[in-house]
Amino acid sequence: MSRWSETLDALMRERGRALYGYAFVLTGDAADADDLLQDALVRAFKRGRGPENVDAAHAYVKRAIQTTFIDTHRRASVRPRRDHRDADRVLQDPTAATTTRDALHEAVLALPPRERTCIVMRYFDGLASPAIAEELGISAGTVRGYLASAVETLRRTHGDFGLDPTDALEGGDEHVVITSKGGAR
Amino acid sequence: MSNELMDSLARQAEAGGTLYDGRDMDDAVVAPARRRVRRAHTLRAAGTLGVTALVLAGGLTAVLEWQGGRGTVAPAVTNVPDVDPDALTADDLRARTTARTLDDGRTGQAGILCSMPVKDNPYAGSDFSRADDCPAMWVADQPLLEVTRADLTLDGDGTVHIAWELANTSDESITVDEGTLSIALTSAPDRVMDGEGYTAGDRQLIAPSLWTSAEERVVQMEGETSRVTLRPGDVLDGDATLDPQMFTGLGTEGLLTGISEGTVAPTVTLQVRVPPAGDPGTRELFLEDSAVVITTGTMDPVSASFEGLEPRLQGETRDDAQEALVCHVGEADNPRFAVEDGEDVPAWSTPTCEAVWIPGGKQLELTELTISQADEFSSELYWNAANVSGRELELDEASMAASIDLGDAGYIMNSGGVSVGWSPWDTDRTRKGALTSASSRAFLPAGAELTGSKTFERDPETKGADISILIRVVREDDEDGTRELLLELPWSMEG
Repeated sequence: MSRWSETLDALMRERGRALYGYAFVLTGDAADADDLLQDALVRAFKRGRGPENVDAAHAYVKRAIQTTFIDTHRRASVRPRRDHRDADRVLQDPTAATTTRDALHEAVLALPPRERTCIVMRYFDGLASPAIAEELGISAGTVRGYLASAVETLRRTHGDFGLDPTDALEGGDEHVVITSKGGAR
Repeated sequence: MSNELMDSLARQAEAGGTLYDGRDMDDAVVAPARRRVRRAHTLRAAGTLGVTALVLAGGLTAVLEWQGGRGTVAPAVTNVPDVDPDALTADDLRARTTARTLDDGRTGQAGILCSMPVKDNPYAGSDFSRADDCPAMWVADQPLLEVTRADLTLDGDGTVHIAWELANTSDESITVDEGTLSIALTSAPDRVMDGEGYTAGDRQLIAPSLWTSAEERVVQMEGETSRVTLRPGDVLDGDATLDPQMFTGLGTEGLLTGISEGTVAPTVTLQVRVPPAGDPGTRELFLEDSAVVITTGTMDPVSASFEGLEPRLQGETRDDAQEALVCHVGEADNPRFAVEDGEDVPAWSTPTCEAVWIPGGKQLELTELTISQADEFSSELYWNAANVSGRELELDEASMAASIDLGDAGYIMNSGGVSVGWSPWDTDRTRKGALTSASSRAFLPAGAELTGSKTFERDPETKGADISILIRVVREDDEDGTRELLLELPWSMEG
């Protein structure tokens, strides 16, 4: 078996669950997550000899998930719809935590892909806007623009559930962290 | 803090993880990814994007691996009988086979018998598909499977639809692998290919002929295995759609025009694998039958903008003509005509296009092209082009795309109108173009300049790369999306 193939096996054995979970967060759909992870694996492993080890592969594939998701945003099944609803019509009982989380994720899935990816990188990966910008190969100002727009949409549709616009734009870690075996990121 | 949002995303990730735990991800994700990576490595090893070469006895035949467009679908079987364990298998039929040659004058059931190590057998778990040339065989003195319908409909934009039926006309039940059935469209089926090559992929193939020598024929080994039994009188039927780009590939020259003008009567060949009774081993048997298609429809007249263009070869230079590309994609595969989804982010496609010259001198030339480091991960490509045609040009500024050719490097990036990595050239006459959903028509007066920039993933190899900028020409009949004309502006970073 070739080295890249062994690395691919090891990656999926050790980190497949986390990577699939990440794809599922972005797409919200099992079939779309399948496609997204498959595309990301191809992107990561068809270049040269492929990543050197599982950590490198994890970083490559995760980044490929993010960029592939943005690139293929016109796939019909993940096509976003601008959410023009107002908060008072969406969330009747903001104290119901489970309902809030479910509704919030629905709202995240309705965001355009770039905004959605930035929100996931900010609030799931815990990254600051400069780190998101580095990962996506775009400017930090552009990332802040996406985050601001996304936060505005989420607050408009779900009211004030503690989402702090300043924290969204200024908070987070400056460095990407790839956790080891079993890690959620 | 935004605990609710963080909790929500974490819960969704865990839900995805639970899904992952409960499913066989190998079938859904890993195996197909591995096949695609292997194919990419195989293609890259051959040297040029999308092109592999098969060394055959007595000559070299090139093969264009079709990458698959949005409009291209594999033959879809629409009527599938079930399985009978007592039906004929490859083990039964192989014992009856005798050699078949192009001119042996015999009739009966034609077949193809491929031999390969088990590790290379796509049906034995090898995770790459292949098209190969294998010995032709007679499997029976009388036909077993016959093409009973082959109707071709040609759309105005050049899209080809083929409706077919394959019937068991024998008095024995036969097990076939309907999931890997493939369809071939040939223009000169009764001669040996003469180095033209063929275009294949997604269980579809276009070629002058399937004969690579007087003794061997091409067969595709792709798809997901699915056994069914064809009892006497049973019929498999299905449809295939071949989009216009496929007719830009090797071995397709003049076919689409010939079909439209009625000067070529193409033949459809259906090839279906007959599985063995047990596990796949070192030999695979295929049955095949052909029929001349009944054709309806013609292509719409070609716009005047595409008249007078001359073929261009890779590396060819001329001072009296402008490098350009004709991308015959059909309106369904033209992003400019895609249904707007309300987003501001343009969609891009990279179709295979025909390299051409526009006679009459240069129209647009690059006067400056630079690459600078934007940040740790990305570089910025900046260019300046001048209208040197002596007249006003109408161009689509939003269509500007860049291709950075790093040779045998794989794709480092291929999105957003920027391709970095593999050569854009598929063959010496065709190369990848770039089409986008965005459009911004602009008049460029004689002598005026046009600038553009693209950001891409940084790679040190770009310092010596061949780069080309593409820009779409706005035509009088711009509302017709069947074809697009792109100006190609070459630049060498080596000077």
